Amino acid sequence: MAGFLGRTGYFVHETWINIRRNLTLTVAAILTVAVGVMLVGLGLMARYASTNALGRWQGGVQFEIFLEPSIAGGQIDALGQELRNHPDIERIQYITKGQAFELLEEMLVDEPELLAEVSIESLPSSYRVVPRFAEGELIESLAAQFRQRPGVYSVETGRQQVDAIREWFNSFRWIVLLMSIVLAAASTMLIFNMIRVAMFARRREIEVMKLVGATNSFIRLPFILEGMLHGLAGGIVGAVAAGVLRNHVEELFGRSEILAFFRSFTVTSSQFNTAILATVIMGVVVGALGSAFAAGRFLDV
Amino acid sequence: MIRLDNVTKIYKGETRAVDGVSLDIKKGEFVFLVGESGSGKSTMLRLVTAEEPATTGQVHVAGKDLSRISSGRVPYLRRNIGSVFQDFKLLPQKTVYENVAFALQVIGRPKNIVTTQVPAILDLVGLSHKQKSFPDELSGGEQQRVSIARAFVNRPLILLADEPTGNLDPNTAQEIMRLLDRINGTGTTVVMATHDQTIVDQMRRRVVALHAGQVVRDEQHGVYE
Ligand SMILES: Nc1ncnc2c1ncn2[C@@H]1O[C@H](COP(=O)(O)OP(=O)(O)OP(=O)(O)O)[C@@H](O)[C@H]1O
Ligand SMILES: [Mg+2]
Repeated sequence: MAGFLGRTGYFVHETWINIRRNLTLTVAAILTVAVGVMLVGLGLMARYASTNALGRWQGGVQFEIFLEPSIAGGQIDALGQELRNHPDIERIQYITKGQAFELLEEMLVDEPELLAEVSIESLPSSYRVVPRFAEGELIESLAAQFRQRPGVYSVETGRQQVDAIREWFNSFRWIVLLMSIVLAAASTMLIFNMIRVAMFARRREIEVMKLVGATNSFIRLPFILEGMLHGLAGGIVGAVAAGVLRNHVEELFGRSEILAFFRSFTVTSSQFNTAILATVIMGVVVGALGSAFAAGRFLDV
Repeated sequence: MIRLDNVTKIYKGETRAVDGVSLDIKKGEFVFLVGESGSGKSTMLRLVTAEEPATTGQVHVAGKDLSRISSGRVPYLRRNIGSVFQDFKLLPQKTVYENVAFALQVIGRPKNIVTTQVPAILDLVGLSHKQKSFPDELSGGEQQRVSIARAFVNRPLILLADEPTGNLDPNTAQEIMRLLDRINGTGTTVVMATHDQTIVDQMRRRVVALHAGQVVRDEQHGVYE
C-alpha cells in the first residue's frame, strides 16, 4: 500500500510538472478540444431536439385539401359538408383564394416581383383538416380518401412537410458530424504534439528511466495521464459552453416570433445530461488517444 | 554472467563496430575493455544492455539469450545491470538523494525500501553529508560517486562502466577505482571500458583489448599495452 501511494504520488507530481512546463501549448490544446467536443455535444442535443420535435408534429399535425381553381361552388360546399360529418375529423377551416393570396403576400413580402406574377384567380382555395387522432399513419390513410375526389387538386399531409424537415435535419447532422470529426482529429494532433514536446523536454529523465529498467508503461503513464487530463479539461470547458449555448438558444426560440417554428426543439433533462456526459467523455478519449500515440511513437526501448 | 558468441554489430549497414567477438565473463570478474577510439568498446557495452541488438551472433546476459527475450522483458534485464558513464547522466534539478532514489522509484520499489537503501548506498560511496546538494554543487568525482550509487542501489549482478574516470583528475580517478573495486568485492561483475593506462596497469585485472571491433588480446592479469 505504501508502495502504491508512493507511485501515485510520483505520477501526480510528474504530470503536474509536465503541465506547468508548457502552458501556452496546454491552453491551445485544451481550447481546441473544448471547441471540438462542444460541437459534438451541441450536435447531439440538436439531434435529440429534432427527433423530439418531429415526433410531436407527427402526432398533432393537420392536412390540407387543395381544390381545383375551376371547381364549382356546389362541389366545395358538398365536400365541406362531408368533411364536417366525417367521424374521424375534429374540425375544418375553409381558406378562400383571397386568404391564400394574403398568406402568400406575407411569405413573399421581400419579393414583390415574384408576387406580381401571381393572380388571386390562379390560386387554389383549400380546406384545412384537423383529424381526431394523432397517429401519422392514420392521418395519411384518412387524407388518401380525398385524393381522388373530383375537384380536388392535391392533398398535403403534415408527413410530407415533416419528411422534408427530417431530410433537412439529416444533412445538417452529417455536416455537424463531419465538423466534429475534423475538430476531434485536430485536437488529437495537438495533444500528440504537446506530449511530444513534453517528452522532449524530459528526455534526460526518460533516458535514465530506461537505463535503470523502468518499464515502458511506467514511463508512458505520466504522459498519457497528462493527455487525458487535458482532454478532460477541454471536455469540461466544452460541456459548459454547450450547456450555456443551449440555454441561450432555447431562450431565443422562446422570445423570437421568427424562430417560433423552433419552439418544439427542446431536449429532456436526461437527454441533456447524456449529451454533456458524452461531451466530457469525448474530450478524455481524444486526450488519451493523442498522448498514447505520442508515447508509443517516441518511446522505444 | 556475460557471454558473447561470435557477435557482430554493423551500424546502418556499413560500420562494423563489433566484428566476430566471442567472450565469456564469469560472475564476480573485473574486466577492463581497452582499445583505441572507435574500436567498439561502447558498442559492446550497449549490446549487453540490449540498447543495440547484435546483427549476428548471440549475447547471453545472466543466462538469457537477448535475441530471444521480448522487448517487454528488456527493462527487467536492465534491473540486473547498473550503468555508469563518463558524463554521469545525473538529473540536474534533483538532489543527490533524489537522483539515487529515482532509480528505485521508477522500477516501482516500495517507499520503505527507498528510505532504507538510499542512505545506505550514499554511506557506501561516502556522500551522506551531501545528500541535499544538487549535482552542479558537486565536484566531478562526487558526481561520479552519485552516479555509481544510482547504478548500484538496486544491487545489480553486473556493473558496466564506460570510461568512468574519463573526466576526472588522477587522484579522483583513484577514488572511483577503489569504489568500483569494493563493489566488485561484493560479488558484482564489473566491466569497465577505459583509456586510462595507469589504472589498468595498477589494478592487474583481466584485460580484453579491441581493435577495429575484434578481440586482439585477452589476459587474466593484464596491462594496458
Ligand atoms: N549509433 C551509431 N550509429 C552509427 N555508428 C556508430 C554508432 N555508435 C558508434 N558507431 C560507430 O561504431 C564504431 C565503434 O564505436 P564505439 O562508440 O563503440 O567505439 P569506442 O571504442 O567506444 O570509442 P571511444 O573510445 O571513442 O568511446 C565507431 O566507428 C563509431 O563511429
Ligand atoms: Mg566509447
